[in-house]
Amino acid sequence: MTTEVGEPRFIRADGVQKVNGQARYTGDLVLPGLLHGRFLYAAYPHAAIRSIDTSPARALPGVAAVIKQAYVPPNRYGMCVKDRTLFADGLVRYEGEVVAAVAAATPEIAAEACGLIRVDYDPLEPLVDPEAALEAGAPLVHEDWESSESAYAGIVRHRNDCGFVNIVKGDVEAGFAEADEIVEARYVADMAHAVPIEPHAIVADWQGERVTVWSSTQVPFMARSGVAATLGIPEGNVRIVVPHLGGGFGGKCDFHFEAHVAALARAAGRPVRLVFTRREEFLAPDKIRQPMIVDLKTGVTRDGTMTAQKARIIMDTGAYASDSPMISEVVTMMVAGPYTTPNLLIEAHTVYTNKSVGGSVRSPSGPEGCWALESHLDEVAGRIGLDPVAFRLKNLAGEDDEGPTGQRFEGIGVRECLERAAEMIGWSEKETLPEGEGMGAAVGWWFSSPAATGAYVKLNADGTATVITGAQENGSGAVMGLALLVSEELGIEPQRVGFVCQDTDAGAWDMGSAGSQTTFNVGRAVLAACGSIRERLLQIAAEKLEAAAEDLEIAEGAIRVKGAPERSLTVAEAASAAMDDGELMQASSAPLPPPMPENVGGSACVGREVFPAFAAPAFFAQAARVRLDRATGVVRVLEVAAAHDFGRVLNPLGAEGQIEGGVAMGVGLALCEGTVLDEAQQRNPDLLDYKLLTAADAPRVRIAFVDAPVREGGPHGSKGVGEPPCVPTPGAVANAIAVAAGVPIRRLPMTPSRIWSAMREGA
Amino acid sequence: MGGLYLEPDTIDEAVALAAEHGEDARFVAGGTDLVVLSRKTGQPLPPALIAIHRIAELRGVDVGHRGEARIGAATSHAMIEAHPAVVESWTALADGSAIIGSPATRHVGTIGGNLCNGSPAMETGSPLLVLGATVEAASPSGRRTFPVDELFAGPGRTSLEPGELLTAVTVPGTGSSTGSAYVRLDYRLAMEIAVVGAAAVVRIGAGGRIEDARVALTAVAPTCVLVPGLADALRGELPAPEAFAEAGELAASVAQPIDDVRAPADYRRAMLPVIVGRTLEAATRRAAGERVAVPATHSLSEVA
Repeated sequence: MTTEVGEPRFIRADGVQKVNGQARYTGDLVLPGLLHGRFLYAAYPHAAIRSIDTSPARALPGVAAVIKQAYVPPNRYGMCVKDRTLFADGLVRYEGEVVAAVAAATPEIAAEACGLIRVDYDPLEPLVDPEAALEAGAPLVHEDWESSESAYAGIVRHRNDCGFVNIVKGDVEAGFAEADEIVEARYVADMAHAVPIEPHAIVADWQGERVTVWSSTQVPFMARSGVAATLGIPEGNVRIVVPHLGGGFGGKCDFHFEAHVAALARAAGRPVRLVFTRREEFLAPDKIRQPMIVDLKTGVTRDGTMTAQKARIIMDTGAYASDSPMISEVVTMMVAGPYTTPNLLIEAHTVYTNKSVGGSVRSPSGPEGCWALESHLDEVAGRIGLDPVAFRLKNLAGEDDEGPTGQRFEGIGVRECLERAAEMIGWSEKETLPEGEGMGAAVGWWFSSPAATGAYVKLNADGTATVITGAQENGSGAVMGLALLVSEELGIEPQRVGFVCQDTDAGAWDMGSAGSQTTFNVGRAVLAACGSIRERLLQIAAEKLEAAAEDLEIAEGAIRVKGAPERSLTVAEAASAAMDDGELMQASSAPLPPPMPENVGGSACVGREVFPAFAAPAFFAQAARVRLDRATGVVRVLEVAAAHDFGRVLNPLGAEGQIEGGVAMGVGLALCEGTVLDEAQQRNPDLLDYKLLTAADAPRVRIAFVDAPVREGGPHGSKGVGEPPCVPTPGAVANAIAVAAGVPIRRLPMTPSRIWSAMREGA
Repeated sequence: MGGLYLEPDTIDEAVALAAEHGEDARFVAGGTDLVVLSRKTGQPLPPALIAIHRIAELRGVDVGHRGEARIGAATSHAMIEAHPAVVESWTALADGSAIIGSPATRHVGTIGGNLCNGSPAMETGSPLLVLGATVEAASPSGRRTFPVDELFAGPGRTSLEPGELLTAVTVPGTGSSTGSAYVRLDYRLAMEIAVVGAAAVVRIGAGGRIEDARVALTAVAPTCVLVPGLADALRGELPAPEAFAEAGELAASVAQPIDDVRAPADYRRAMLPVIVGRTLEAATRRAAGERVAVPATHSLSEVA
C-alpha cells in the first residue's frame, strides 16, 4: 500500500452533474417512437376478478397496446416464494396489484385508456390483522400456498405463515427460573417506506429477440434474471442498463416492473417508458418496511445479568412473501442482539395479509427490531435500577464470545462503540440536562454480505485506469469510492480512475446495491485485479531502473527505488512502455467470497437458510439527546453520537456520509415516518402526510470509527457500511424520549400524539 | 388535451374570460393547490385555465392613509412574510405566510389562492379573521367587498360566485399596544400543515390589562373560525396563564376536531388550549413591544 488506508478524503466525480442537472436518469431517456406506459391497479385490496375487458381502451386513438396476465407466460416469480405473477391472475391481493398495462402516445392518453378498462370485481373481505391470520381457521391469502415453489428448501411455511424462523439457544425456561426479575412488553412498529427521491422508472426497447431495459433498479442482474424468467426468454437476450440512480434505499431491490414494461414494448412494437408517480412509489413496489409486532420477555438477575430472553415477532409481509422470509431470519438476530444472554428462544412469523407487500428497505427489520430490543433493555435496566449503559456493558459480547446462533466473534468492537458514543454525547452529565431533555443509547449489529464478484481493470497507456464492473452505484458512492483502492495499488490519483458499471452486458455478475456489499465484495475483486497489474508494473520498472522489484515502491504516480526517489519511472511511462512492447496492462479477478462463520444455527434452529450466522458483522452504538415539548409530545432530536465498528474504514468521507444519512433516516423512522392504514389500504401515500425528516430537523451528528478489522471480511478486514447507520437510531431516540417523558413509547413511529397519549396514561 | 391557457392583463379581461368559459374555467395563480391536486389525483386540469400572474393590480402590499393595508390577491406568501409593514403591524399574517409549505411553495403560492382553496387548515385564514380583514371580489357586474369570515363556506368551499375573482384583501390598521400572532402545532420544522393552529390579536390597556382580544382557530372546524365571546371573557384580565387557559376553554367549545391521518380528534382537542395559550402569549409579548421573531411557531416552540 502506498497511501495509508483511511486517510484519503476523496470526493467522487458525479456530484457536479447531479447538482447542475446534467446527470441523466432513466426518466430523462427518450428513444425514437417512444410510447408512455401506465399501469391499472386493483380497485380493492382483495377481490376476485370475474372479467377484464380491455377493448374500450384499445379503441382509444393513440393507444398502442393494452396487456394483462393472459398476454404474458404464466411464470411465477418471487425472491423467496414463487407466489405471484406479473399481472393479477384472477385475484387481486392488495391495492397495489397490477391488473393491466397500457402503452400510448402520451401519458394522458395512457391514463385515459386505463380508466376505460372494464374490470368486473367480486370484492372479498381483506385479511388485515396478522395475528388473526395466524389462527387455525383464518382464510388463506394464498389458497395454493403448499404448491408454491420456495427458492430455499428450508423455508418453513404453513398456511398464511410464509416463513417461520427461530433461534434456539440453551433452555429459556431454566433461564427464567434463575432470574430475579422478569420484564415483558409488546412493541409495535408501523409500515414504512424507502422513499427514494427518484421514483421507479423503466424504458424498454426490443431489437429482434433482444430487449434492452433501462431501469432505476439497484440490482441489474436480478432484474435481468427476473425479466428472462417471467417472459420465458434467455438471460443473454436481456440487457439491463442503469443510468444515474436517484437513490434506492432498498425500495428498488429485486426484480419487479422491468418485465411489465418489456412486455408492453413487445406488444406495442415500440419502445415504452414508464415513470412512477409518487403515489405509485408508495403503493406498488414490493419493498417496504413490514408492520411488525415484537413481544419480548427477559429474565435478569439483581446484579444485571440477563439469564433468558424469549421473543415472538410477527412480521406482516402483506400480499406476497417477496424477500420477507429471509428478513425474518435477520429480525431474530436483531432482537437477540450482540449480547451474551445464555438462553434464547426467539421466533419470527412472516405473515400474509392483504396489505402492501413487505421486503428489503435499507437494513430491513434492523431499525424496528433494534428499537424493540433496545427499548425493552432500558425497561429491564430500569426495573433493577441499573444505568442503561452499565447494564449493556455487563451483557454485551466480547472477543471470542458466542453469538446467538453459535458463531464466535472476532474483531468485535461493540463495547468500545458504546463507550465512545456515551462519551461523545456526554452521558456522565445526563442527570444535569435541562428540563424536557433526555438522553438514551442503543447498540446493535448488522451483517456483511459475502457474494460472488468480479472486476476487470485496465491501466491505460497515459496512466489513467478504467474499472469495468457489474456493480451498481446507487448514490452512496460505493462504486466511485473503489477508485481509492485502485489508487492505493497502482499509485495513481483516484480522479484518474474511470468506471463502466451498472450494465449487465459489460461487467461481471454482481449482487447489486444491496446488503451493504459493493465495497465488501467488488473491492476485493478490484484489489486482486490491481494486484496483478501492480506486479507487472514493478517488474517492468525493475528492468528499466535496473533494480530489484522488491526494492521498489509505487507512490505519487511513480514507481521508484526505495530511499532513492530520483531513480523512478512514472506509472504512465511504465504502462506506455508495456504497450510499445505489445503488452496490455489489464487484469480481471473474480475472488471467492469469505466463508460464513462456523455456527450451530443450521442445526439448533429452523428456517435459517440465508443467515445461519452473521458474516463479518458490523457493530455500533448510538446515543441521542432529545428535547420533548411535554405539553404537545413534539420531540426534536438535538444530537446523535454514532460510534461504528466497520472493521476498517476505507473511505472516511464516504462512511461519514453514510452515517449522517443513516442517522437522519433513523430519526425519521423514530419520530414521523409511518403509514397510516385504513384496514388494508394506505391513507398517506404522499409526501404531505407521510412525513420524512426534513433537513431542518436533522440533528447534529458526532461520529467515531472503532477500528476492529476481521480476518474474513472485505478489503483490509473491512465490513459493510451502507445499512448499519440507521439501525440503532430509533432505539437511541426512544430511550432518550422515555427519559424525558417518564414513560416508554412502545409504538413506532413515536409521533407526538402517541407520546402525549403514553404520558397521559402513564407507564 | 386541448386545454386553454389564458393570460389576461387586467382584472376586467380576466373576469370577462371567466364569464365566457363558464364552468370550464378556473383561475390559477401559483398553482400550488390546483396543479398539485391534479397531478396527485390524476384528474385533468380544468379545460380553461385563466392565469392571473400578469395582472399587476393583483400584486403587492399598499399601506393606505388610514393605516390599512391592501394586499393584492396574487401577492406571494414570500412577499408578505418579508414585508416590513406586515411584520410590524399585522404580524399574525406574517407568521402564517412564513410557514406555508416550503420556500418554493411560498414563492409561487399566493394569499388569494390560499383563501380560495378553502381548506380549514389554511395558514392565512385565522390571521385574517383576527385582524378583521375584508376581501374584494370582481365579476363582470362589478366589485364587492365583504368580511373575510363570509368568504369561508366549508371545507374546500368559498362564497364566491362562479366566475368571480378574489382581487384583494384589506386589513385595517392596528392601534398602539396591540400585537398579533399565529401559532401552529408542528411535528417537523419545515414542510408542515396545520394539525391545530390559532391566531390571536391582543390590545393591552391601562394597568397592563387586556383591553381587547380576538382568537381564531385553524384545522379544528369545517373552516377557520373566530372564537365568539372571547373579548368579553378576557377584557380586564391580566395577560397571564389563567386568562389564556380561559381562552383555551372557550376555544375548545367552538372546536369540532376530527380524526384524520394527521392526528386523532382527542389529541387535537387537547392541543387546542396549548396552542391558543401560546399564540396569546406571543401576541401579548408583541403588544408589549417585545420582539418575538416571525414565525412565532418557531420562536415560541419549546423544542425548536
